[in-house]
Amino acid sequence: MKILKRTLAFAAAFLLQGTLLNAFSLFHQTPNLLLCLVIIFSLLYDDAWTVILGGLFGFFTDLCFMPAPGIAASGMVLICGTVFLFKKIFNRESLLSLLFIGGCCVLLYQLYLWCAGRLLGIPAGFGYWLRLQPLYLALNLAVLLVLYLFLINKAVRHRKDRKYR
Amino acid sequence: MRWIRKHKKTAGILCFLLILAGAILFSGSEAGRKTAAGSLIRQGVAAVQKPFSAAGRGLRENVGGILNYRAVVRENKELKREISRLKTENIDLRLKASQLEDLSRLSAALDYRDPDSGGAAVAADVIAMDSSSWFNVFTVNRGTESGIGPGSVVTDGSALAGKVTGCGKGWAKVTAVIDESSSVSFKVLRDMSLLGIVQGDGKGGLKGFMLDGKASVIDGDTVVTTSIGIYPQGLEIGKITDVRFNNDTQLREVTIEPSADFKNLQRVAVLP
Repeated sequence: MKILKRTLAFAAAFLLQGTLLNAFSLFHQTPNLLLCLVIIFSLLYDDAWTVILGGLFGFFTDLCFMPAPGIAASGMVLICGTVFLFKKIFNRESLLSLLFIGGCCVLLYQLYLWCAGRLLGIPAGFGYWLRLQPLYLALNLAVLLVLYLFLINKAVRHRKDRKYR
Repeated sequence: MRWIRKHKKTAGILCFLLILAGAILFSGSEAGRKTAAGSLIRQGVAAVQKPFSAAGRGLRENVGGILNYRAVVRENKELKREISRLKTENIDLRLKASQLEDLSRLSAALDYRDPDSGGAAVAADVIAMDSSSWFNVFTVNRGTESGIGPGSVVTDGSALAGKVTGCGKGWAKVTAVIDESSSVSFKVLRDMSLLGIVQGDGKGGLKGFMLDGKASVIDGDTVVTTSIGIYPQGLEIGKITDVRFNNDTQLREVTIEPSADFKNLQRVAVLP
């Protein structure tokens, strides 16, 4: 996918995240569209544009919704790096790989947010964090699956995958 | 003719009286109509009257004051008393204006908002809300152009929702009252002498304590804001759902369910 299209996708996700998506929340929880885009683009594309766009729109999220700047931006960069690391080990053209990588990244991002919140004074404990994760994980994995099925045909095949040896 | 030569004086008088009678009759018949003779006569009369009327006026002004001296003195005293009273009233009004100006400056410096002034709240729509469960921040579509500034109180119409933490033209960032960074002093509606402090518990609710460890609060009590702090008094915060005594801190801790529905907040009122 071209850089412009990716930028537009990120912009649409940013705008929908805090506005329209809240109207379709499930038990007051919504998937994180920006996070899903960061995961899927990092998985399917090898360039650095995902890091740049994820960091940029994460910064916009910080300005709009976070008490301190840099929380979401650094979280997106962290997730990009994690996905790049996972790509060295797992086959990105496998659905199971996607679910595993996606699940780990979503949990990691939530854990990161919770730690940042604790540093800023949130009194919510780890048990409360754990209670929120199943539904949040399910929603994000569902979005990741839809994005994967839509984008995988447009990704360049990775010739180093064992399927193609 | 011999009679006129013998009685010249009598004839002369009789002649003058006849002319005079004729003139009177003529004037009577021509009354209201401007004639050359009448204009001439009037002009002549006026010319003679002017110096005489000036002289009479001079005599009245100069000589009459001497004759009415006592009345003039009495009138002078009354006028002096009236001037003195008006001067005092003028000074008093100027002092009041100056005091009012000082009070206005003090009010502006302290950012005092008269609770009885009935200042109009600004209605605003919630245009963006944080979807994560950790930070309770949302954005509304009104900002500095509506008089909103940092610290402006936000309500959902009746209950306290939060305060403005950042704003610009056309937008304002609001931190909800359930955010852990917000502390609110409250009093119990059932008994206004019961005071406490509450803040967000990080799970979408409020947790706090009563200032008096022996305060008799029960589940279901409604709590409202006090006038302490930035929030105006009387705004509903929520209802107490749990009361327990902490033996370590010796404080009566309360859990409060906020009245504002933060998950479905769509329209708010901002108090500039």
